[in-house]
Amino acid sequence: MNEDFNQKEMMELFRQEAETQNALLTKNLLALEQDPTDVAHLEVLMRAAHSLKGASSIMDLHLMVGLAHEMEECFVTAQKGGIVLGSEAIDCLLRAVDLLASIAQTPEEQQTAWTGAGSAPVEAMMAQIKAIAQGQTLVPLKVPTEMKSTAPADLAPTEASERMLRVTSGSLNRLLGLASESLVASRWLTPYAESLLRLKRQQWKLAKTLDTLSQALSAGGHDEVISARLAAAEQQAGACQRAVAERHAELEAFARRSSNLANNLYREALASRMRPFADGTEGFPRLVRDLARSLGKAARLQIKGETTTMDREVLEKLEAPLTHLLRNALDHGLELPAERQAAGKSPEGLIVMEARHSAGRLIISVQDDGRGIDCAAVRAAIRRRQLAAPELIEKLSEDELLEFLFLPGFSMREQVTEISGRGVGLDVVHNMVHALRGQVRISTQPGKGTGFQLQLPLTLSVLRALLVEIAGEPYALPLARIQSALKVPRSQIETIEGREYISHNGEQIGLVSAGQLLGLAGPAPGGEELSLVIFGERGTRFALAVERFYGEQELVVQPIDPRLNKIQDISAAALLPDGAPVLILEVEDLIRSIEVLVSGGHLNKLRSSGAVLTQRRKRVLVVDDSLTVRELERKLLGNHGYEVGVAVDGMDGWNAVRTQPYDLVVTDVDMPRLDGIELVSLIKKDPRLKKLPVMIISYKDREADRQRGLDAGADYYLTKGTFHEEALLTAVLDLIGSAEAE
Amino acid sequence: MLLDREPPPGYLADSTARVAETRQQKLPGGQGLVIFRVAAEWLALPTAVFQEVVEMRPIHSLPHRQNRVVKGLVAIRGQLQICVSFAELLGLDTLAVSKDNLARRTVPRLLVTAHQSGNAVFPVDEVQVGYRYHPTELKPLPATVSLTAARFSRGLLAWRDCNVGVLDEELLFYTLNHHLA
Repeated sequence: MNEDFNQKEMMELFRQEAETQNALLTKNLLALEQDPTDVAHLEVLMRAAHSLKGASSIMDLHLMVGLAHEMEECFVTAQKGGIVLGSEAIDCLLRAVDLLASIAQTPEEQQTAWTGAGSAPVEAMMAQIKAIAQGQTLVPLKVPTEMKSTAPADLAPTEASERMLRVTSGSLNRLLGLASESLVASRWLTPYAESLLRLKRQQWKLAKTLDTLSQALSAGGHDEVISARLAAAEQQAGACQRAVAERHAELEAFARRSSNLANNLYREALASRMRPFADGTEGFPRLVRDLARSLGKAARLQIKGETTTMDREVLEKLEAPLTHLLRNALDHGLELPAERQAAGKSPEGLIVMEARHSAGRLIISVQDDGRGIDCAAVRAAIRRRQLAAPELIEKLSEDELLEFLFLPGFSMREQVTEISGRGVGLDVVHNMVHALRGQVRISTQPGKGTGFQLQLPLTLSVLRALLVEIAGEPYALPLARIQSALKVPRSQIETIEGREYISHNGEQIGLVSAGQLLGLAGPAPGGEELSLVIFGERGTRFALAVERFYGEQELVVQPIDPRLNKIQDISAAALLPDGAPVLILEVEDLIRSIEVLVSGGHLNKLRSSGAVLTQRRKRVLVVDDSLTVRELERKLLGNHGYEVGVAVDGMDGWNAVRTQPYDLVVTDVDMPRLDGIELVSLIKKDPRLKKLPVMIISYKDREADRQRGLDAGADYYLTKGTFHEEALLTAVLDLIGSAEAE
Repeated sequence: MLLDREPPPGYLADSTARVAETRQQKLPGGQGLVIFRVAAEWLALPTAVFQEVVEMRPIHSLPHRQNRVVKGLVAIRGQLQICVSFAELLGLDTLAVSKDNLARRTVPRLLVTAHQSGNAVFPVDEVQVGYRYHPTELKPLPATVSLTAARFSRGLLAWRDCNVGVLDEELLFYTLNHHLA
């Protein structure tokens, strides 16, 4: 390893990745046990093992490489149908996951514990997995004592008033779709019933005509036959009128019933997505107990509001931030028992996690009774890191101070601990809550404790949005993400340096045409007034010019077919009340797109006026599904002056090269969604991109693999087995030269 | 009176021959097809991939897409599905037809199809009711058929006075899914 890199930092990243992959392994092994032939699980398992193999090879953990390799081989064999993994095999593989976790969690200086005699359990495990892969029956392996299996004692089924059923989210989505369709259909009935009123009026006119005719006839003398016919006609017209009136009344009643029914069906279908808080908190008490013990602390978790319901998607996505907050409370919040006793508190710390509904929002709080946050220390940390001007730091209020804790990389600790001081601190919580369209707040009292409050929407499936028209089609902007919508006379547009602005509340806000931003053809919005939607934060605030406002609407969010991949600037779709589709814009994406647009336009102007361009650095895109490898390559190239972008798989990479300029792509081969070979072929087939150099870095070091990569059009093939930083750098230099653009 | 009339000469023999012929043609192993028209071409797909045929409705286009194969999203039974242009996917000439459409007063429809790789909705200019055929009825494609369209067809089927290109659904969806990504 190159000493340029902070070895500790790399180890931290590696540990995080190992944790993620191990969780994937455990989860999918358990799922596989339920359905041993499901290839989808096997695919995930194979990838996870493969990624671990790669990451541990970078970290020089040979034993782990070997074990992960055997597991990967075993999953590949199962994928090919060579073996079926039964319960014994799953047992064994789960223990292997435990072993992988133990190795990954061992601090670097103690890694020697796994060499020599220490490697025996791992080698025995490798032999076992090899045996599984060869389809042999298993001899029970003596499980080392430190890897005792988790006791299922505290997983006793909670007393439920109603039986719970497992339903796939796909079938729930379809149910919701049908319910919303029937709601749309029922809305059609009322206008139809009203159209019968027109018929009624026409018949009334007919009756009147017959009436006047009859009067005219009687004035002109008698004709028996005609009078009789006329009377019959009048009678028939009357019967028609009565029939239509009756039918109309019946239809109206039916429309009412049907719309009630459709509404109820729809509400019930929406409600079936809701789950109690308890469903997502099962693992927490154990986590708190185990962690507290490992820290030499005593702690108890109290969970309140277990029956509080929330969207199942919200519940799933809460697990990670809540785990993080619990770790944080245990590590930073709670004091050691002796310290607590000295402060007159019970030696056992208490963490209260509560979920409740308030004003249509979901509030989840995590409160500890520990030492609280030392605001002076936060101030000092801000000063030390020079995150704000010194005179400003003194003026910051307590709330403003605490906001700094959510900044990436902000840690109060000088020492990184294994439990929660991960360098990535509360920013993870902040980002996850933000992604759920929620907010997070901290409150603290010295000596009494710290509380985190998450405010979240009850459901992700219903969104309040502003409907607008862009290029003749409806689009929706989440109300929570926009600042205001206003109409401004054209005369108020100012132009500064060729860019259009408006002044709003004393701030100059750049104007962007929505059609242009989304790459949609269409005439520029006409008329004397512009319809503008304002969003973003100070400094990155923009006004999006749309063609018109339709108004506010509650939308039921539908995911977009995953085959379309992520559509830039779009988060999801929905149906309008009339059943027509609407796309939901993603404001964060929009801001990024605008910045790209603005900086691009700016560059063009500079160029045309002949001004000196700032020196551009060469841009490299690193595509790898392993966080460790990605970060290693990013840092290596970054340290040598290159500007580095990353993509988490081939598809991500493919999107990146099509939307941003790059001078080189460095890609792995085995990746989900789109593999490296496919990525290379796509790039080389694209007329605009085919000249872009691509380097493949892979573990596959056989000549055939190399040839396959080069056949696809790769310009360079580097094997990870012999991965040296110099080799990578030399190759990059060969392909695109040094970082400074000439 | 009308029904008592003598059949015209040769009618009986003619009908008998026709009935007998149809019987012979319907061999076991026949396949159901839905026949439809896109631009000037008559095409067919197996009934098995069809979910339903629905009336035209708004199709929402997608931003940032240069790819014209995907027309956008369309709501089918309350769920948004991908709407795909046959003409773009198969490389058909769409210009020649607009006059024909006006003259014939046909009704454009949406074909909702389902395949294990995912659903897709295709707008077409006209749909005919189902038709059963036997694979042996398929004629090979003449060399004159444009290369792009031919790639997707199993063969031609004589139907009324036109030739219908019977599409290979596996190839169609395979190509479609590659276009989507």
